[in-house]
Amino acid sequence: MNAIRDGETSMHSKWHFKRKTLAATAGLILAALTTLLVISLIIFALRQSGAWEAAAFGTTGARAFFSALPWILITAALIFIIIIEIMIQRFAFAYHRPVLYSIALITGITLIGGYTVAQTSIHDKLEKTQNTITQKIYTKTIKKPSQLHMGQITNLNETGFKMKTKDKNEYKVIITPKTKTPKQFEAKPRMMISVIGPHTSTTIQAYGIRPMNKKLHIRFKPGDKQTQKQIMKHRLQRIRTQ
Amino acid sequence: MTDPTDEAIAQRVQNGETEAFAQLVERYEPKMMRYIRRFLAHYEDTQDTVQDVFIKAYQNIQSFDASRRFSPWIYRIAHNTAINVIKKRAREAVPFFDADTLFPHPVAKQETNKLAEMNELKDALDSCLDKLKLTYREPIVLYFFEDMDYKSISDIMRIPVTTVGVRINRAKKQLKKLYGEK
Repeated sequence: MNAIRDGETSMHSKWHFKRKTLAATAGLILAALTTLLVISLIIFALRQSGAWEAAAFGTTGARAFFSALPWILITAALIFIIIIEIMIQRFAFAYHRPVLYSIALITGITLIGGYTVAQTSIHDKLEKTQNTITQKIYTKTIKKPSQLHMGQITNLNETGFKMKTKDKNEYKVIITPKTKTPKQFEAKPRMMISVIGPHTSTTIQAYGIRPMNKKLHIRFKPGDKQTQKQIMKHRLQRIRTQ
Repeated sequence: MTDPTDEAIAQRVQNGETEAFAQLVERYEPKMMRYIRRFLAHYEDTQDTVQDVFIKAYQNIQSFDASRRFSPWIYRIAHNTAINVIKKRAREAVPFFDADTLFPHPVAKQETNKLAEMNELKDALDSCLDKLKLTYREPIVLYFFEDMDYKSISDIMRIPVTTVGVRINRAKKQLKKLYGEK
């Protein structure tokens, strides 16, 4: 009490604590929003790369799916989840219960939030932005799953069919008795398909074939008029800004 | 006229009545001395540590929410201060992360007859408390000597309520074992 009476020690003001709370809250909100953005980018990248298509092809597809995962972003998301967990441990609702519960809650909320953000057009717009850094992030994040080929059947032949991919590569797809396809699958010209299997520069040994998800048609259709229009518009915009 | 509550006195201190803090010091000094002495076990600087606790409590009094109980708040300050002393002396390991807090545990029932329990363990508590690991010593001290319930201990140590029960049970077993070996 002597130290207090002599003024050697003094009370921190109410504002000191309010500022601390404000800074902590701002930090928490920033961490949460960043996590949402990172997770939404992961979901967007997996969708745009066709990785979800690979997941339907059993073990080979699972390997292809894992090859397309953006591990750096996943690590970043996990780090942010841990940061949020540490920040919320000051609250009774968090520390009264096992850490696993709050981590599960944070993960659940950020996955739902990330999925919701991924359904908006924000990533489509950011992917097409003029900013070089943003473009590089999207290019590095959207990785083509290994052994997965997505495109359009051009014509049928005795061993299978020919397909053309978005980057205008043409492959001869070889179907064997071991090739897995959905029940009552019938390859037809102009059909959009996903094929999984090893390839050379001209052939694909098909382990599995599936019709492509309709939402991905516009992205993977080779030389589509609409896509061509978009590509030209983008190129003209770049020339104008240079 | 009934004595003012700790929370009412704390509110008066917050409003500028510095002298009112002396009442809180008077009420809590014996408790803090008992708690810190038992918690720190091997360390001789109980008096200095208790002084630090009250200085920190005064400095941070504006962060106290008068709608909540004062006791866990000051014990939390005491816990942090004691942990800092232990870290500085580096004679005991203070775990950064405790795996006990990660997973849920089966709910350990809080014993209703604490006094009977304490009598049963009295000799072990007197002679072997300082030999207990830090993570077990503190909840035992808070439970038996400071007469706290699991929820209050959870608030002070910032660990799950179920982990408090698990640690107290383990501490009791350890005490019995250490006393048996002695």
